[in-house]
Amino acid sequence: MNVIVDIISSAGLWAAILRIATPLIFGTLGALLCERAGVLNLGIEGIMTFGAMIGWLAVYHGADLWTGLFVAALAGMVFGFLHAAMTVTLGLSQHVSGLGVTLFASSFSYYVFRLIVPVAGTPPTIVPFQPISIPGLSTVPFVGPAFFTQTAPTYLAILIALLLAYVVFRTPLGLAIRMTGENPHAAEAQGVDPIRIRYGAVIVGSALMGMGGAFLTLSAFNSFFPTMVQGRGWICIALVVFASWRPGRALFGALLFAFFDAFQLRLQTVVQGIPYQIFLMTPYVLSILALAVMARRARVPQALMQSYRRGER
Amino acid sequence: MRLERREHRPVYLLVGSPIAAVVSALLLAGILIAIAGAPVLEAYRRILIGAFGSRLSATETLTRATPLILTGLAAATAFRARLWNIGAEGQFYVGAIAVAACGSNMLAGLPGPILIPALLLIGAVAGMVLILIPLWLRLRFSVDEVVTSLLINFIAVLFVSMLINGVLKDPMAFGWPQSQSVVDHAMLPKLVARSRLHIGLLIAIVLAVIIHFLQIPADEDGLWHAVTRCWPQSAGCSVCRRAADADPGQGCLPFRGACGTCRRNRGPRRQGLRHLRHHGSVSWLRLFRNRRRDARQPEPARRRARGTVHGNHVRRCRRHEPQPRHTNLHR
Repeated sequence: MNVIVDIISSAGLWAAILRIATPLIFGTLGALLCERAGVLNLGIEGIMTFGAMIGWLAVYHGADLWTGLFVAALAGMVFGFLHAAMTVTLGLSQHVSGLGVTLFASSFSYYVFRLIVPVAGTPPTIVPFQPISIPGLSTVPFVGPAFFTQTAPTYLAILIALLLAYVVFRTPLGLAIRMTGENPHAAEAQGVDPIRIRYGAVIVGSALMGMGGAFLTLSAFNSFFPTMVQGRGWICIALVVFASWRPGRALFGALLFAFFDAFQLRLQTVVQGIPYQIFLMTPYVLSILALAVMARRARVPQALMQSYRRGER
Repeated sequence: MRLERREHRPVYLLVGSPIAAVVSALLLAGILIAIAGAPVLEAYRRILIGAFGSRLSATETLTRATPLILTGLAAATAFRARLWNIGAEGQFYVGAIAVAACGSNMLAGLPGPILIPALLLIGAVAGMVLILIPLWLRLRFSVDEVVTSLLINFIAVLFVSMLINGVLKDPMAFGWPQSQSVVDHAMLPKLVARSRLHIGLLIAIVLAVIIHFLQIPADEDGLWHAVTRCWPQSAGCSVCRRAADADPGQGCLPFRGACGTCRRNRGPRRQGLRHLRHHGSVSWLRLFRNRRRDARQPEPARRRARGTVHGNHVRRCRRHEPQPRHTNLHR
């Protein structure tokens, strides 16, 4: 019991939570935006991998760190466009198209990486984002080192979550997006173009996913390796359901998952005699449990996974 | 530009489109190979030789195709029922570890002809047990099965890793994490001598054919006949008929209509078992989709979808009656 209290009361744990949560926040917000418009984007895993690769590559070739993040967002947009073209214009199965994008993007990022970076014993590194201490707040004991000495993309992720919550629930654009996800026919009748909204949502959402991937190489680590996303994309898809399609709750869900993850990492080193796989399983088991608790109240966008064809009932 | 669904797919497209897909994939990959600075045709020639060039490589290709065929069939059956089982990987792992555990020591004493079918069954049951978790969560808590089956993949892989590092670890493997080998007489008989090709390939092909014929025909008329043939009681239900009429082009939907809104299924929600008895075992997969659909639709919309309201009573729709447009918006 003492061990658990020790872990929870260390500032290092809370700092790690924000660090682990950042890519999840980006990814979850991206997936959430797509699903609010009625498109399930299972391409997230591949888009994050590609974002991680291309952002890192840009910085490795001398670009600014922020340019790297921007390039990753652009690459995400390209894949988002691909997914939107297949699911919105052609009306193909969103699962199949999304998984296809994932397979393509993750293999393609490895291909590009191998093509440009020669094989070496240790992977080449870059100088990642450094933690920024917010003046004043960062000197507060415990809270300061835990929450106010993070890297810039972490603050950006939280800002984007708040911004997205505002846009989705408080602006006409957000209303149009939600309407497209609920009933594209009614949206069309109100003069909203569901096809354009869906395209826009998928492209912007995929840009966020790309940025989430880029955080991994530009801030969390300093080099790229092909398996680095490690299923974070799928976690994000689960978090969207957990968050009942609300950006604020998505932020909370990502932090909660990161808490489980950071906690089990520290528990692993303290508790002996239990196979380490048990600890690695806990975040997933707890996510499923959390889903079972949350799913009752979740209201799925009604037109999610339904392709929209003009003039067809 | 406007795209519309074809009424009928001509034969040349049915055959030609997969071929065209493969050819265009090869062309695109050729561009990537060329960018990497390798001779394209030579690369493809080597791939072909590597896959089919010798007796060994050809049998090896088929051997490795076998689990892919079976996993693909697994996904196809569930997807056909619009149940998105993304957990194939986890089910695959759990099946493998269950067979390895039983085939290496627990049941190893049994003679081959009994042991092999028993092990196949054990693998199947292990996979089934794993998908039962998402299904139970779907029914009990209406949790999306895409997400849970996906997350269970991670748990299953970690679980297998735990077993082969722990209780099932082979002491003879010099610390390498692997399970003990399945006994020799439990291995599937070989199809070709001096190769790894085994009768699993035949099993996979036979299963593929069986599943092909078990599945309900995809076009609407065929489906409608199949529904009435299998469950004459639902033919009497005009609602089902209406549902079959109202969904042109979508092969699965009449099926959903037929068992989701049928008279016998009305009443309290939690009647999973009664529903099963009523419609027979084939429909059990459909059940999940229906229930979610019902749960999703607000009550008035459901009622409206069953017929048009005239005065105080609900008039059942006849088969060839034109439908007011608004009732279909809520599908």
